[in-house]
Amino acid sequence: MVDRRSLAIGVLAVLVAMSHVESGRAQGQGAQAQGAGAPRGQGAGAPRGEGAGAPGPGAGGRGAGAPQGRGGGGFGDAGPFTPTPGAKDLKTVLFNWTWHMGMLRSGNESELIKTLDYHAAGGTIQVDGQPCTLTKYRVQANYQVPGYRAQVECTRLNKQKYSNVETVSGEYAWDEDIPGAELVPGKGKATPKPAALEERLIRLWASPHGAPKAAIAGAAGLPTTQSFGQNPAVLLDNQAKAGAKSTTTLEWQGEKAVITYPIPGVPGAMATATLVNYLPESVVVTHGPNKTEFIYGKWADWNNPLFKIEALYAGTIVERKNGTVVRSVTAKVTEIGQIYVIMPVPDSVQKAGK
Amino acid sequence: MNKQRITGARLLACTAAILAVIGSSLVAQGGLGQGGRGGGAPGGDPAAAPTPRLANGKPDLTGSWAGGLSFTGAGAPGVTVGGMFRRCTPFQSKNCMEWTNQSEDWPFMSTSRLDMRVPIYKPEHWDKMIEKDQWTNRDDPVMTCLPLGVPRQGPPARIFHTDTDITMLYRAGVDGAGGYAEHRMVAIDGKPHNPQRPNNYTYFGYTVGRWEGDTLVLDSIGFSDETWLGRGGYFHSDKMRVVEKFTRTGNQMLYEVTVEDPEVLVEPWVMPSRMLRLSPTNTIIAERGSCTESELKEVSSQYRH
Repeated sequence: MVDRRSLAIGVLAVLVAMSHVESGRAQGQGAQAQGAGAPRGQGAGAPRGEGAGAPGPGAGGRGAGAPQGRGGGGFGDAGPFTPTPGAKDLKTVLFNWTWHMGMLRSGNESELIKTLDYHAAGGTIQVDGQPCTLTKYRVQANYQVPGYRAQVECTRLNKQKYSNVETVSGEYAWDEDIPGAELVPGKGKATPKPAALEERLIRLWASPHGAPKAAIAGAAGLPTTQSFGQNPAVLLDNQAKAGAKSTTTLEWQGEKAVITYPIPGVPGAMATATLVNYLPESVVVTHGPNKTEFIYGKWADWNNPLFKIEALYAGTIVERKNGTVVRSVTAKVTEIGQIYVIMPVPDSVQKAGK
Repeated sequence: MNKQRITGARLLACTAAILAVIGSSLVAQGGLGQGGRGGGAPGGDPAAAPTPRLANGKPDLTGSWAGGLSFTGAGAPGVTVGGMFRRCTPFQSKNCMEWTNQSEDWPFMSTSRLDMRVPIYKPEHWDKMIEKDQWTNRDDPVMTCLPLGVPRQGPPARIFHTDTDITMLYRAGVDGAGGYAEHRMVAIDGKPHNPQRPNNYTYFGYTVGRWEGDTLVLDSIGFSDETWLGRGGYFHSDKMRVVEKFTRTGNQMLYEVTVEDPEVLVEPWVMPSRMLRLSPTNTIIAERGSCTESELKEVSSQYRH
């Protein structure tokens, strides 16, 4: 067994070296292999974009030496963006935010967290103005759609059981009695909840992953569907050159970066994220007379112990609306590895309108 | 838990993935004679070239066709992934090595996961899909030496076509180093599936061929349920039906696939279509290599791609 392992390591090393040579040959750029663990110049094997719908090579949908496509992520000879120590500009902070949370993946260091499956260990949620002790709280989000489905089961103070599946997808919000209600005719009941749309979008875009995504989109002057999947620094440079106007702003309060950005899909709603060591301790959303605070703590890789993902999530989440705690949960386990999460809008919800 | 064994398997899987990348690199450069340079006049519109015809007047699909990786390579509009390595994130240990990151990054980089055009599974199967995905190293046919089958294998790399039948050759390594050289022969007689035919579940299905105008339609049923549609736990039932359409125009060919599986899907899944280009050189496809299912069902650690 040890022999096989050694052999595999050896083969791997050779192949890695080969990949640099191949990519350098194909791109006419110097291979810049560096020691393991060190930030490396990525002229070789370099991040490259792929054309939309373009055939992509094998594993990972990209291959060293493949023809260059869209250049959104290309670092060129300058190498990847490396924040200057002590720099306090918006691009640096947004890059560091996602970088410190483990949201930048692949050699492109693109922001590639698409989905989330979050299971709470416990907590409380407010139902009809009263606290309800959670027995199940599972949130499945797909930021690309964008939308989420939260399965809530809890026990009220009077011991009555409560359950609901709150769902939002794009411009529609609805409740389900079972996850995916009405996707199969006759199975489950979907109830349109257009009045809950803004609250749910605020929850999505103030969430641990949603907040940096929305802040980057605001800084890039793009919808989140278009800012997703890009290296934040490259995206912001390109958008600045293109004359895009940022709606995300930054100020510093001592050592804390305070970022203000608009909540996508909710006109007039502005979020303010306060970062400590590039992890948010809070996101506060003001929308008209309402103020919703999201307090985050215990950042860790909460993924399944059998598959740690090297991406962080908040272990504690407290949501306060106008001073009242409406949701307080602690993490049990997350799944951040691009698992299958969908939320098609049922016909009845579409017919009911937005 | 056999830690040594699992570690070795993970490394081998990683090696296989890198092999696929390099293989793709060579393919893209035409280094393996796979073409990739496109057919037709240099710099010209491949669709403008004359479409060769069979004796019966139908388009002759014979040739080597490039651009035909599996769904994994279908592309995710607007998303940029690339490069072999990322740097270690600040919270990772000081001993973190760049290449070790990739074992955790494969699922983020797979374009089949990033593409929005995914099949809509019935809700009762969602958790099953997630579990299968989490146990990719145990459940994905790529990890257990099975053929990818239709439609995961993607379009053929080489075709031999006559008035009465078509022979399709598939190359290996089209999905994360998974998949093997395969072949498929289909009669094109316009006959429907024979309901009296004994069930014979296969990876490429029981296929009948017909023409719809100048489009060749291959209609397949009788699939083994062991294969997946693509990465991410995209399983299917043995009730799956796959309709493939091949439309050649000059030196390019549109490849369209629709998957029906009323057992597990809410609606037919129209896969992202693919435009293939005729290669100026003949593709040589090596025979299937060996494969050892090293982990069997003993795994107690997860790996996915």
